[in-house]
Amino acid sequence: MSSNNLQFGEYIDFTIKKRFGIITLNRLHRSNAFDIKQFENLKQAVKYCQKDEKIRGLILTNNGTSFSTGVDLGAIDGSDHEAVKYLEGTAADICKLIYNGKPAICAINGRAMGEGVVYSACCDYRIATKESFFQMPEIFSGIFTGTGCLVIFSKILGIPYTKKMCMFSEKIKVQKALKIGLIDQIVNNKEDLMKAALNKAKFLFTKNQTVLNAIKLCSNHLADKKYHVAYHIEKEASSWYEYSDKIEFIENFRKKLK
Amino acid sequence: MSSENKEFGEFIEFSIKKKFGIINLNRVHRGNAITTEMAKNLKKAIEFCQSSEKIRGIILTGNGVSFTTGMDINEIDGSDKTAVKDYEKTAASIQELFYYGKPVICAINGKAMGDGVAYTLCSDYRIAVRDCFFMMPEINLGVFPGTGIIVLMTRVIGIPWTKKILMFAEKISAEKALEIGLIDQIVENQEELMKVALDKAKFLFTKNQTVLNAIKLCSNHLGDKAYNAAYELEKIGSAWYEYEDKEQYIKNFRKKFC
Repeated sequence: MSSNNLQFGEYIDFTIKKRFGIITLNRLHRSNAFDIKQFENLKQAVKYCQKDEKIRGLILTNNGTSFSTGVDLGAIDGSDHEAVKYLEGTAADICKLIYNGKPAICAINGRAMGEGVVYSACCDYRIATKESFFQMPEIFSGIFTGTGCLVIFSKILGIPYTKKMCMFSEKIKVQKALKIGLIDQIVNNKEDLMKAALNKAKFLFTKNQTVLNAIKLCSNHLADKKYHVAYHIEKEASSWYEYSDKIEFIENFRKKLK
Repeated sequence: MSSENKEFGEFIEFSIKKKFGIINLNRVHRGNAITTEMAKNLKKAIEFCQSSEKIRGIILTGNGVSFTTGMDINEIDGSDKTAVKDYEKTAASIQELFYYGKPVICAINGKAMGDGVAYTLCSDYRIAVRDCFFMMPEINLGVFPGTGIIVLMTRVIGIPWTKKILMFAEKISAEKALEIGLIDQIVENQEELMKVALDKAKFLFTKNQTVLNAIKLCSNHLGDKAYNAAYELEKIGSAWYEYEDKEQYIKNFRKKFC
């Protein structure tokens, strides 16, 4: 079930297991920091998983001891506004694809900074090894964390922790991350990490995919709606079995939540 | 760097340190309970901080063993609806100024009740001495706490704790407050309190103020927007560097959330 490894560039490994696309960040010499090409490739890989009917979800993980250290500041000229904008736009698109798309599991081995934190925040189940930590260092460089990060943080972690992480750049260790809802599980080592991730993938891929995707969409998108609006959207989803084309039902339901 | 102490009436001390306006509630004989006059002076002090270009944020604290016990009910005739409305309007507009304005650090030196809890909620970093507590006793008097506090509470600490505090008047210890996100840090005594508050002020005033204020606005205002709408607003925030006049940019960005 393994696909061509260089399909998404030299820094992203891609395979399929348990009907989940496994995307492995693999740019070790730069601690899995992203250059623009790697963002583009990651976006392609995430899109591929969304489109392929055989794939029911994705696992995002890393090789080496950093999950990702975010944007590779060495690979972009900060004064080139168009380039920065394109990079930030691509990074933000990835968040949106994961948040609105098929179930995503994040398996974090090592430090996660910048985009690394953002991508783990927008996944549906987040597992981290016990030495991992999370930090948003952007404020030290005067960079606005505007790649779909604040919208996710304020929804997932709430206002106080969004501020502690983005205004004060607090370093969050795994125990704290578990407590505040940034991750869902801590494991001892990398072997346990992939084992736990694949177990969760197995749990998900054996379930009714229409129901699963409808639950994900409602979980992510009902809390910010007015009660009576959200209530009616949920009611609509609950009659999913009346639709003969389930894939189209999910696509339409997704559009409704935009 | 200290300013005229009586500038904002006899019950509010004001000075400037680390480019932060330090507002000290000082009506110790009444547990720093707030009269209409004092609320108006507090509002003026905050407005001064917002409009002074030299000031980059606010530290709100109190003298004595109470942070504040909220509205001084001995000073206001509850049957005088106009007077009550006048107080409540001023108290509510203080919260709005905090929530939309420059970064605010709250240094809670003792018990916080009524508006004391409200001002804690709308600050960006909340430090409290270990023996303080938080309580909303209004329900015991049949007073609706409608000074902007429920809107903040549901956003900052969520629905279940909002109900426990407002419907059941539960007394919240510093430890519990830390656990539920009502405060961010506990210190042992008042000396340490101001030291930590000034440290946090120093962290903030040395950073890029445009980025910092944009992060604050997004942290406070994206959570209640639909994901896709919030995502677009964050993208506007991330193009801050393209604006010549950064003050004007923040003013315009702020208006987008009004």
